[in-house]
This record gives sequence, structure tokens and C-alpha cells, in this order.
Amino acid sequence: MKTLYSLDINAVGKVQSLNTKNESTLRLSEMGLVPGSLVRMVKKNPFGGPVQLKLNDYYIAIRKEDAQMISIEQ
Amino acid sequence: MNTSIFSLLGNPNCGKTAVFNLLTGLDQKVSNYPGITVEKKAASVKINSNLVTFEDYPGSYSLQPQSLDEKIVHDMVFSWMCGTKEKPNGIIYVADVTNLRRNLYFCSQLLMLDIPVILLLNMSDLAKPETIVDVHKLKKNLGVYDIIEFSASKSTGLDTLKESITHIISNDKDSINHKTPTVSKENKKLLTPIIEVLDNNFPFSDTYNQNLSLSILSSNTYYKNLHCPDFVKAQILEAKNTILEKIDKSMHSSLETLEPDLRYGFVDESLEKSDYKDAKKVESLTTSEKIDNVLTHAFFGPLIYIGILYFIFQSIFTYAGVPMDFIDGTVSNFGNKVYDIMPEGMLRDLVVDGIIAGVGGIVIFLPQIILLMFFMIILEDTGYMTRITFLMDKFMRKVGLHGKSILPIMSGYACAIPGIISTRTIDSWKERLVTILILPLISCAARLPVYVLMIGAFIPQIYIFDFIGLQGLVMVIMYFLGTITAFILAKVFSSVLSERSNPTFIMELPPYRMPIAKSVFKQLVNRGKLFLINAGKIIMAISIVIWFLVSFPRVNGEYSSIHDSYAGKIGHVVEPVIKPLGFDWKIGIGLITSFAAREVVVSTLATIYNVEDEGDEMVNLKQAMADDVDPETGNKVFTPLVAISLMVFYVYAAQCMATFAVVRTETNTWKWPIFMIVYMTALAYIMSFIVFNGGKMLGFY
Repeated sequence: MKTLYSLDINAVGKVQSLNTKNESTLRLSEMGLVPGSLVRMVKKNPFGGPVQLKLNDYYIAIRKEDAQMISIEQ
Repeated sequence: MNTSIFSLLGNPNCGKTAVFNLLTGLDQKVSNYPGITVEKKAASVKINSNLVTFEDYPGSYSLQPQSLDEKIVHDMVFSWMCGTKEKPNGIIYVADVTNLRRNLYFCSQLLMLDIPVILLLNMSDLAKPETIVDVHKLKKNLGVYDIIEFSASKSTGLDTLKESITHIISNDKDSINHKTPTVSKENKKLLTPIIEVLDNNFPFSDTYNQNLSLSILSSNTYYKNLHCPDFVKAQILEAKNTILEKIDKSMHSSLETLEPDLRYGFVDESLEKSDYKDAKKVESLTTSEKIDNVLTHAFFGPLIYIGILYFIFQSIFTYAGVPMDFIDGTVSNFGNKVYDIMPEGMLRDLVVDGIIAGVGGIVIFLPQIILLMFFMIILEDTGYMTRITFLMDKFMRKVGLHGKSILPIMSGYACAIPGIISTRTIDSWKERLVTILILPLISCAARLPVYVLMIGAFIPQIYIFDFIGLQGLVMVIMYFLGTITAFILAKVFSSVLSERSNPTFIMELPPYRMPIAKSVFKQLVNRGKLFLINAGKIIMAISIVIWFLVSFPRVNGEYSSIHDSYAGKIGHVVEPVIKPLGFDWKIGIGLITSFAAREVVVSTLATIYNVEDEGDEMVNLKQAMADDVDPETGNKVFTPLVAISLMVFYVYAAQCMATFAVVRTETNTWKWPIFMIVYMTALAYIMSFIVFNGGKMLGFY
């Protein structure tokens, strides 16, 4: 299973499931990151910092730990 | 005449506050003072002969709150629905049209409240709404009261909005036709136990009840936000557990997304029926992203950030010089004029040496404070601040803070109070508390007068490598000292404290935008006014008191020497304590008066030196300080080392009572403000002691 974090820069993936913690899952899905939505990996901050994604029409930053708990298909 | 209330709601970064400012006009008094904890901003204006109060709430993504900011919005809505607070006549929902789908999520939650919703498609200057969606169909499909194409920066749509508001006021609520997502029969059955508990305890409508039940079921913590007696909460929890027992364990995680699934289903259906031109593809590269490729570059990003900070602090010192000299000259001229006009006597001394010298000593710093505020507003309004948050998150976590601590810290350079209030956006209590505890260590604008005065008088202006001014450099070092100590202590506090920590970090990076000139201007004017009002009230009062303490008691109707005045006596009592730091009794009086506000030390010294000087002219404070000689030892009172020791003391000292009052309200206990006062005072004393005595040993005295 591929995780969102393992996406290469500029690669697009389709969200399959969120296995994040309860609070993160709810907020991520409220922000539109739900199974089925397309995301593009824009940037990974060095030293394990947060990642920047493009989702729908906008950019969102989430932590590496959360990105590793989201499974995707390419 | 009755006042109608309209509430402005919307996602963060949707331009809500710009709409608010536009509606209420530039010269409206906005009740958003640093120092008063604000839940919302409110201002009243006349709209077509109706008196309307507009309320601006913090930006929210959802009625399921994640931060204190969002909880404020949630609690307000909840109290409307319980009937404990009067519902507004209407909601003005501000949506960023360039990001419509996500903006409609929160809107769909508000549609179930039985309050007419006017939907503003803001930012219509960036993207024509017609190219995105059929506006008329969308109005029908959402059932909103009205839908208006709007641009806060170009002021378009304002008249239509005012008409719509007038229409709601005169037609009451007869035509609420909101569409809301329907909970499926299955889910309704599933939710029944919770629905029943709510029905028995609250006066909710069916729609609101169902949705609330859904929220309760889909989140582990949401029910805690409901304002009701504990036994009702217990009933709710029991009902929730009954439901969970019925469902297979493997399905529990899918409950979390029940509400988002339902709402996005509704939003997507409404958009599709309104000929929504599907979003720009995720592949597309926006201008913002191109800028980000430079500004948040792994290597250049941090460098640029440091460069910007350095530029800001250098220019505060450099560019403010001209207007400062101008104000300084004007104040002296004014003082001298008044001196000539008024008859000789005590009143003239009070006005010239007490009030004009004291207040004038502070007003000089207006240009610098305005300049600092200007840079902060620009960083925030362009969207760069969120990029710093993104860049710094990892580092901030390492020192026990949160990426979102960076905004409070940056605003702390202007004033700790708005900084402390803005920690409300930090989702986790522990990280929020640690941010509050270290915030007053960030050098605020009130320290600026102290630094500027000391540096200007005692640090020579030498250029290193021809472009780094020594004076500016010393100032940057003072700021750096406070900041680095703040980070070290954050690490210490976060390892010691056992508070609850739940750090999530999910943050939108809004597109870069040009700041709206009007809005920047308004914020600067407000800030300047606040500073002057402060100078006019507190500093004037203190200046008068200081003048009396310095000028009395009199011997045979004559001034006694300042040494024997009341102030002199008080100063001499504290002198032994501060002597090891290199401070004499005059500075001692300044330190005491600083407890009202830090900058007061400058006006205190100005008053003292003006009274002491018996000549007719206003005294130049810098010169007077540089010339001051201790009558007993014949040594200068101020040396560069004393000046640096004093600045270091001000970097750390707990001297602003207003800050601690706000910490009290934000943390809900006296424990934390008292802790802060103790640790900061100890730190100030120790650091100043080390600097002064270390410097002496190195032969700098």
C-alpha cells in the first residue's frame, strides 16, 4: 500500500483511506481530503517537516505523520 | 428604533474582515483593543435608515471546533439555537469564490439554523463567478436568501448587499427556504437514541437536532462542547455508546467521516446542478505556487525569512529617524512656546517640565511603532505569515511549540497582548500555554523607545563592512536575545509541564494576495490612535505624579535639589537593590513606573531631567543623560555598559500589567501570570547582573 507521504514531488494520487487520529481525520475530511479526492504532492519540507499538497483549488499543509497514515492509489 | 444584528461568518482567509470594514466604514470605532479579550468585533452603522450592528466572528472551517477560535463561533451558534442568545436577523456568509467547494462546507452547516443566509461570492475580481458556476441556479439549489457577487478589494457588490440586508429587516424571516443535506433513513434510525436525548433536553428544530446527533456520533470529543448540565452529557454519552455497541467495531472509523461525507455529497450535488465548472485541476500550477517555489524553498526559504526579519529591524531604526527628529523638534518648540506664554509659577513648571516633557518623550516613538506595525500587517495580509508557519513547524515542535505559534510570536514583536489572544488558533492546550508563557520575552514595541533612547545616546554609529550599522546591529541583538531565550524556555517548560497535548497541524496556505491599502491604513490608524490615547492618559497621569514627586517637598518655597525630593527618597530606597546592575536611583524610579507600561521609563527620565535642569529651554534627554554625573563619585551615571545592562533588563523584565491581566483571562487562573512575573523578574535581574559585572571585569566600565 502506498502512502500519501511516499508520493514523489508533483505526482498525483487518489485518496483511498484515512487512518489518521480521530481529530485529524475529521478536520482533513472537512477540508475536503476524503476518499476519492485527488491530491498532488507539492513540497516536502526537509528534516521531516510538514508537506504541502494541492487539493481541489487550494493548497494545504499537513504533518508528515498524518501524510504517512493516508493511503492512496496512483 | 430597534437595532438589527447581522453576523459575518466564513472560512479563514475568505476576506471576511475586509467585508466588515467595508460595511462599517473606515471611521467606525471597532471594539478590538489589545488588552480586552474579544470574542467578536462589532460595529453599528445606519443602512438605509435602519440601525444595523455587524458582528465579525473568527474564521472557521466547521461547527465542529478544533481551536478556541472556532469554539467561540460554535458556542455562539449553539446559544442561538438553545435560545439563550438572541439569533441575529441574518448571516452574511463570506465565501472565497476561487475555492468555492470547500467554502460551501461550513455554509451548509449554517443553512440548518433557520436564520436567513446571504451568500457573498467574494474575490470576484480574481475569478468571475459566472465562469465557475451558474449563480442563479446555485441560489436556488442552496435555497439561500440571496447570493451576491462581491469584491471587498474593489468594493463591488456593496449596494446590492445593503439592499439585501434592508430586505431581510423589513420582511422578517418569512421566506427561509434553505436546502439542507438529508440524513438517510438508515442513519436516522441509527441516530435515534441521541436524537431522543437531545429532544428531551433542548428546544432544537428537527434539522439541527439530526445534524448535532451526527456530529456527536462522528467525533470522540464533540459532545464536550455542548453547554448543558453534566447529567445530560452523561445521557448523551450513554446514547452514543448504545449506538456504537450495535455497530461492528470495524465500521467505527468510518463513522468519523459521516458528517463530511453527507455534507460534501450535498455541496457537490448542489454545485453540479448549478453547472459548476469543475475545479482547476490539481495538476495546474498557480502563481502562488511559483512564488512558493522560491519563498518556501528548502534552502532559500529560511534564508529569505531571516533576511526579511533583519531588514525590518534595521529599517525601523534607520527610516524612522527623520520623522522622529521632526516630532522631537516640534515638541521642544511647543514646550518653549508654552514656556514663553504662560506666567511664571508652579503651573508652568507642571505643564512644561511635567506634561509636555513626559508625553512628548513618548510621542516621538510613534513613527517606529507605526513602521513595525506596517511590516507585520504586510507579512500577514500577503499570506507570507502562513508560509513561515509551514517552514517553521518542525523547528517549533523541536522546542515544544507548534507551527502556529509563529504568528503569535511575530505579533509579539508589536505587542504581546494581541499575540496572546491569537494563540487561540493553536489547537493544542499545552502548546498554546507554552506559547503564552514565553510570549512576553519577545521584545514588543514598548521596549523600542527604551532601546532607541539608550542606543542613540550611548552606542556610536559605526559602520561595519560599510553597510551594517552598529546601532542597528545592537538593536537586532536585543531582539535576538529575547527571542532565543523564549525558545530555550519553551523547551524547558514543555518538558516540565504535564498538560494535555494534542498537536494536529492542518493548515491552509492561502494564495498570495496584495494587501488592501485601505485595510492596512485603517489598522495603522487604529494602532497609532491606541498608542496616542495611551500616551494621553496613562503617561500623562504618570508624568504629573512624577513631576510632583520630583518637585516636592519644597524648602522655604524654593525647589529643593531633586536628590531630596520624594522621588529622590523613593529612588534611594531601591538603589541598593539595583546598584549591582549599574543603575542609579533615577533609573530606579523609571523601573518602578515601568510597571504600568515599559515605555513609561522614558517619559519618567524626561520629566526628571527637565525638572532637574533649571534653565528655560526643554532639555534634550539624550544629552542630559550623557552629561549626568554622580555628585559623590564624579563618575558618569550612564556609560555604554550601563545602557546595555539596562536594555538587557528590559528584554526580560515583567513590566506590563496589561499583559498579565490578559494571561489571567486566557488561562483562567492567576497561577500562570504569577509564575510569569516571578520567572521574568528573576531572569532580568540575573542577566543584567551578568552583563554589567561581566562587562566591568572585561574593563568596559
